[in-house]
Amino acid sequence: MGSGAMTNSIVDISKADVIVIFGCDPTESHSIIGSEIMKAKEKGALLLVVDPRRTRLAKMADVHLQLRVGTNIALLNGLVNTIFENGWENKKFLEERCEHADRVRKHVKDYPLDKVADITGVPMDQLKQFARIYSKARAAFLAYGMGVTQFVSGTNNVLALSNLVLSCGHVGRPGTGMNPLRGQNNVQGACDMGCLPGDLPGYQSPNDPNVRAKFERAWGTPVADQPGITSMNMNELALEGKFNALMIFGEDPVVTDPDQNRVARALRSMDCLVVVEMVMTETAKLADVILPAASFAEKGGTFTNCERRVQRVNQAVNPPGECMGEWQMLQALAKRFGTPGFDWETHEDVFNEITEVTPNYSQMSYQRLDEANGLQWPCTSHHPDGNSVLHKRSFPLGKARLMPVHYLPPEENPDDDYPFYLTTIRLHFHYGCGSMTRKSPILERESPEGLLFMNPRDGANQGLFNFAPVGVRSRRGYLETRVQFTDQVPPGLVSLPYHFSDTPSNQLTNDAQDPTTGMPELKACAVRVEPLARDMRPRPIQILRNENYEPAVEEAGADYVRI
Amino acid sequence: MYVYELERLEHLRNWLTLKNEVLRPIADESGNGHWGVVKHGDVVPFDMDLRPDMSPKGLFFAERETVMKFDGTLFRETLPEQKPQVLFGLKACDLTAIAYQDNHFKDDPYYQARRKNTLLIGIDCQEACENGFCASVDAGPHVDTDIADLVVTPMPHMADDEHGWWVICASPEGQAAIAGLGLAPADPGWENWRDMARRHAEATFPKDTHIINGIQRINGRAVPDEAWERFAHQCISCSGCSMMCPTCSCYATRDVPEAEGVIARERIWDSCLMVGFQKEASGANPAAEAGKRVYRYWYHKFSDDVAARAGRYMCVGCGRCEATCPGMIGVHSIMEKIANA
Amino acid sequence: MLSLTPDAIRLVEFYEDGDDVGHFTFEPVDATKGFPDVCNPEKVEPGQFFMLSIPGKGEAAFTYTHTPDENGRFVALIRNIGCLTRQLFKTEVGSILGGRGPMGKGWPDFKGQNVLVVAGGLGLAPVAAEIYSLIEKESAPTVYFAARNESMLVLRNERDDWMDKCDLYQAVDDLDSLTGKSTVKTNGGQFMHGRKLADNLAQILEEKGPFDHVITCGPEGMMEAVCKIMMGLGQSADSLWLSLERRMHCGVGLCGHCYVAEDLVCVDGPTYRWDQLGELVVKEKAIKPPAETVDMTTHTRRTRQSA
Repeated sequence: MGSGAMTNSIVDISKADVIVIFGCDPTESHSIIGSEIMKAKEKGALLLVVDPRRTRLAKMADVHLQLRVGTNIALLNGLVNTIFENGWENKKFLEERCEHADRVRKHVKDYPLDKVADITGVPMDQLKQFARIYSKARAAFLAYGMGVTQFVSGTNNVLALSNLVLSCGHVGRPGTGMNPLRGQNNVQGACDMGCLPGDLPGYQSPNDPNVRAKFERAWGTPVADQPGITSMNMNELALEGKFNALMIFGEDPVVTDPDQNRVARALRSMDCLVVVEMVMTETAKLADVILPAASFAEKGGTFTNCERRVQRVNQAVNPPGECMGEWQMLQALAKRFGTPGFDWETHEDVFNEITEVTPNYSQMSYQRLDEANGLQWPCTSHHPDGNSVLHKRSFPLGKARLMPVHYLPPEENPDDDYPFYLTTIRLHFHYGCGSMTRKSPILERESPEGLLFMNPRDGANQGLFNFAPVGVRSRRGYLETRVQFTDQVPPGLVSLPYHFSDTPSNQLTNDAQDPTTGMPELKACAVRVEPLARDMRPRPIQILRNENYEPAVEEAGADYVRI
Repeated sequence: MYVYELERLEHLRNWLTLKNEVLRPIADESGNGHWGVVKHGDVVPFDMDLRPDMSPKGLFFAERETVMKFDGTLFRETLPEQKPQVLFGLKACDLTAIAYQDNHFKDDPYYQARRKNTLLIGIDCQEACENGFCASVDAGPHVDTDIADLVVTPMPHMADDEHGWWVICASPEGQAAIAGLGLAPADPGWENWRDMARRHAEATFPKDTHIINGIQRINGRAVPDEAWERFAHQCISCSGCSMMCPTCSCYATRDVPEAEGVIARERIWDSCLMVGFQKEASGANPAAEAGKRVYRYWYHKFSDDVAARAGRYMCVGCGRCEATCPGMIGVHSIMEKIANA
Repeated sequence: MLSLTPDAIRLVEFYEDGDDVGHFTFEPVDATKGFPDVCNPEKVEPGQFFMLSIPGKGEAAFTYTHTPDENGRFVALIRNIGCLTRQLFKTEVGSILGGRGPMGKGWPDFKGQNVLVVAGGLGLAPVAAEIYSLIEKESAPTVYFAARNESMLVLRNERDDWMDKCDLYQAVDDLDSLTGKSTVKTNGGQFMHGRKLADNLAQILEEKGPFDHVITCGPEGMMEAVCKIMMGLGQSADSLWLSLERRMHCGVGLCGHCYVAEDLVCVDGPTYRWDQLGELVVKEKAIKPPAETVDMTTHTRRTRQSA
């Protein structure tokens, strides 16, 4: 449909009569949005949840499609087929606003309900019920998360999802939309500012000579006409010796990126690794230089949330010691490199530069953001007060295009050797790699170790007991943890939170990537669960590594000594 | 009991700043109230309707405080120092909660160090506030004179007319605090007027049948376990209700290393809705199910058994949990659910 | 005023007493101005507990296995299970730690009564002091002690000592684990089969009963079973006593962690009479069960050990 952001706003949840939560767990990972969903449900909205896990919202849902991991496209094609077969589609919307509807209509005929039920494991009547409720809704709000994107077929998943949304016309009106829930605070802002390899700020393409000319004028320096590389690509090139220096701001890829043994090797092979951090992370331990970063409360600027709302961040306290904001660090570096153009005096100057070169931000200013409690882009001369709903009259490409996509299973599937699907999850007590939240004693008490969640039936079959120590092995790595039985996961699926550096799920995950976005397949890989001796204490990864349990990594032992 | 007439509350407030640090509800930029210091000579009008989002419990039972330090050979108690302070403009609900906590922490040296140097000035509410139901749980809208040092109550008036106040000296300390202010004694009819104002205020409360029914059903143990488990789906263990609740008093402890081998032991607010609250080192957890924890929370607030020990229901009807709960299971929502369970 | 500040105590002796179980002896660091309460033989009763501080790791509740002697020395039997106890097991003899107590209600005075003590695993720790106290009062009890296997037969020195002073029946779940090292004098020199709890109790009742009181401590499921079996054998509910465990942060009724219904185990317990505890447990369940059954199934899995 166009842009990589929520088409609607958080407030639209309360305006919808049907809410679809697809492959995400907002009460754990986006608690405020989760709260809005619960409120809407209490006020009478119908709640539909699509998730292999029986999440909190799934337990409250009117319909829960508990599909098999990685069968999103089959499910979605089946739903679209059912909608077309029954004539439930929004014909007016398809005719006026979309193209290629017929292609998709024809294509999804290959996905009759019985076949889809077979692939996904969802009963036919539930599929039909879902299709009916969604298509007949006055306004249906659809939110999706990493359970859609973190697959090899991530892009196709999103296309299939947009086919569903478009065929029912649930976009461009209050209470509707197709709304990705972003992974972190300000990840939207980072994307807006050109942190994607193929974009300049404001999703402007470096292939466009006009865009390049504009930036070259503004910055007084030539701008690259080739897209950059993804972080996965960086690892690859680093291992090939073609990528030699990296500066990382506030990220812990050793814990959060897939196949961490490889990531660590890639980072170690660089000539120069600079990490800008607040705390000592696993990644920072590999750095040549660590620069001390200011926290959110110690710097000024803006954050952009997932509903495209640019909000002011006000400095509350002075940064300790030599800590500073990222813009100040870049500025200091530029100065030493002798590069002109970084002579901002305040963070407001930085923002003013952003508004000059980013059309979506063009009518914003600190003063206007303060007055309006944040503005939602696009905030242009046509819409100086921002936009809460995108695509009201047209799409960026004019008409929205429906795209036929085929179902393909995940890259790696369970077999006799590795009989379980592993999926990675988040817990609301922790954030990201846990480098901040795991320092809080009460949060740490609430989920002290990275537990492996398993269905009690699987547990019984494996001869395990609740909190039994287990080893988890995939083709890429091995770790030890404790198993916790829960009805959240169905038989055949186990889940592991990704916050814990002692039991990093990314020891195990597959770094197979979506060919378009480079997004790794974090949500599905095959593992084996090995019972350990009853009284054994699971060993943290740092110890396993030192015992050369994982031969893929040659450690300089001292790097991983824990205090 | 001595009662005086007062023209303006700000006059009394300013008088008290002479010898004490005076705290009163103050609104920040977003309109939320908190307890802030008022300086001598401050003329900002007193806002009767403003009630801080956080209850005042943190002023006595600190959200986080050091209880002792160990230097390698000796353990030393670290008591807080408290200059004389006045809390000006406490509503009946918060005062009722302070009275409860005074008893719960009667032998707690940290709480008492702060509490004993504090003068409490209560104010009678004239109408129900949003989410408030103090009248249903015997905690308002008027201040019980047994639990404050001074109580101020508005004189009869029409709508927004300027009006005077009666100052009721509810304790010898309160009496001493206004000595020298030169107030005129009240006319004898004040008690009747106050009583009438209370009845007027009580009449403004919306109906509370769900609260009364809910209390009965909790005590009759008439709510099935499955229903509690269902309500608990909406509890994300954020602990907002416990933090806001003026009577919640649970805490955890942690040891924090300081310089030169010194260890400080802190205590920090805790919440029984957290899954680790009762979890033991072995992993055993008597309250492992979320439904049991949600039940526990409300049982503790509304059970007759607990009330028999504490002298009253633990809930004072302030409604803060309703305002803060992200899962729609604050007191009004849950009592509605219980009544229909 | 209550004090949340521990007194300094010294770890004076430690030996392993079972798998991952340690036998720890403490004494006051400075007794020149009299004993602090935690080490005061005048103040500590069998069945009470104390808070042990491991500076840097925190504080946890442990029961007195031996109440303080005339030198203020006392013993706790502790399992290596959490981060605090892990540190304790690494602590060198002679180190200074913190102690606060005594806390909670001890066992009632059973002097002159015929008492049966039923203990499982580490549940022997909180009743050991009472066994000594009854022997001293010339009311030596009958003791039944069961463990999972031979390596969990804790308090070996104490049991050797009791062997001549009271009737000591012993049982293990896993009879195959016996190597012959452990000694038994009662029951014809035989270990009983731990899983046959009902039969064993019936046999003991026949040989040594009737009992005026029964004290039990162990995993909660076991205590429940003991109480039900003994009631089935005609013991009245108000003559059955047990000891509960809960996570605790203060030990003096402030922190709220150890609740059971309206009770706080640290001040109202840890010792309970079965009928009184039953009432509390029923209150904790939202739905009232039929009057005659007392269902403790939701309260299983607790052992006497805390950390």
